[in-house]
Amino acid sequence: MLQKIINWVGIILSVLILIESWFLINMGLVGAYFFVVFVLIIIFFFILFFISKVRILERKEASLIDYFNKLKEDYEKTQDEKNKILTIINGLSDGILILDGNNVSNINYQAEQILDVNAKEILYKPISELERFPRTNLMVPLLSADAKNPFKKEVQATGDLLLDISVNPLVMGKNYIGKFIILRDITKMKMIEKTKADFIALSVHQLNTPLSSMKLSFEMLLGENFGKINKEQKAVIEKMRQRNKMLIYLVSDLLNLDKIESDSYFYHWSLVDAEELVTSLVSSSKEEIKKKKIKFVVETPKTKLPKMILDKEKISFALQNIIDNAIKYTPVRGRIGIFVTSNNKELKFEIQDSGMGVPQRDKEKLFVKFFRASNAVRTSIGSGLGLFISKSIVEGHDGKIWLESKENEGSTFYVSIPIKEIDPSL
Amino acid sequence: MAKNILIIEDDDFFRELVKKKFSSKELHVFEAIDGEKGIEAIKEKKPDLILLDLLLPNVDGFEVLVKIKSDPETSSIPVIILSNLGQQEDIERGLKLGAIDYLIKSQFDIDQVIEKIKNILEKSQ
Repeated sequence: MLQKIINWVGIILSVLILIESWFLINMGLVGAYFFVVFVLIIIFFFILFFISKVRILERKEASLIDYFNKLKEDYEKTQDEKNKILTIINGLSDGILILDGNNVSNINYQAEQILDVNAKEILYKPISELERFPRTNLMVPLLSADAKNPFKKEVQATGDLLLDISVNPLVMGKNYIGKFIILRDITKMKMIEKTKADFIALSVHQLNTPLSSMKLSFEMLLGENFGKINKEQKAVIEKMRQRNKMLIYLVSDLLNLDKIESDSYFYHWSLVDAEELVTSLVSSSKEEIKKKKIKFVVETPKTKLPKMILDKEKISFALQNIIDNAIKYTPVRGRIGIFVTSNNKELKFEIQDSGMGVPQRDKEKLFVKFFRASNAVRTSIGSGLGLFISKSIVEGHDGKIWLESKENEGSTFYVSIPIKEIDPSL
Repeated sequence: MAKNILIIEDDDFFRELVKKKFSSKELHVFEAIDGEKGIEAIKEKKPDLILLDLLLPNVDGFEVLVKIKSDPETSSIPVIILSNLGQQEDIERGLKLGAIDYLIKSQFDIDQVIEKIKNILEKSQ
């Protein structure tokens, strides 16, 4: 390149000298002088042009260098962040699997241990590769499922391994690019939970055994199955029966309270037909309502109620508790109405009664643990835990519970439960 | 003719109370104090109805229920579970194994139960 430039400079100089010679010969010194000045001016402008180009190039070079330095800096920062994230992922006690599309792009140490696979065997391969391994072959349909919405499921991987698998979408902008899967070994935790639940159930059984004998014996004494009793004896035995009943409620409520307050109150989600839920609530209450000759009305929408993701046992318990309170605090020949409405977003229950109502000063505290309204304390037994437990369960379903009430006129309890999108894994 | 009810219950006091309350011209109640004796009594006396506790010494109530329902000679005898085990899984298990009802001892109304039993016995005649 340099040689070419030198050659061209040489040729141009030779031509200029020839032209200068011609001017000198034909126009004399003056002509030659003007030619030289002309050539110098050309050279001057050429040098200026050259210098400006060089400066432009220098600036571009500087900004390119800056740009590359910044790129390098950003790359190093990204590598640092990536290494940080990888260190964190590898240090987690949960297993992590990251899928790029349907291929495994990342697996941490804990996931290798949980799944009993080597990263080399499955990295950058489709998730279906896990079908080859004994611990993972049953999980493949779940891990391959569409995860545009996150979902969670417990899976019995092998006889002695229970996993909680959470599948979450990986999104870049608006594009779905893969999945982020969290694997948690909950075998031990479930065992402890079951042991504790069994212990509590047995303890409740042991507490209820003498209480149920006492209940029956008080009822039989009052029924004069052991011979006639006088008024005073009847009154005392009735008080003993009521207090015994209170203990029975307390044992049951304490069992439920313990479950809610310890983390062992896991919700068992399933698809529940809301129509069936309402039917079972109504049929559970029939006997008591008949006894008190209460006018009972149930209204549901003309269109079929939806199927919803609920913990059927717990939500039934929560709603039944409110209905039982309505029955308890409504006098003989009173009125109770259950009104159920639904739209796309929520299922709503209104449980209305013509009972004693709640004093204004007690309304705020009604859902507080162990609190009982002042008028309820005077007239009936209870543990003060029922509404607290119902509220916890409704809120566990992301729902809301509230009431409107006027003392001596009645109360309306409202329960609203959101309708969630159906989990494809259920 | 009086109907025979067998109560299989290890709690002596509760068993005595139930026997006293249920015994009448129409109902004759006899007892067994554990699962093993319960099975023997069922085979020997073929009761018209069984009241069955679950937490029993030797053979537990669920096992007794399985034995009753798997024997063609006794499978048609109606069984009502009477227990303080109130977990949903216990209730479902009991009903699945063939019990016609599951009553929680600390919650049931004895007069209603007697009415229910009389209805069941009338229907099975």
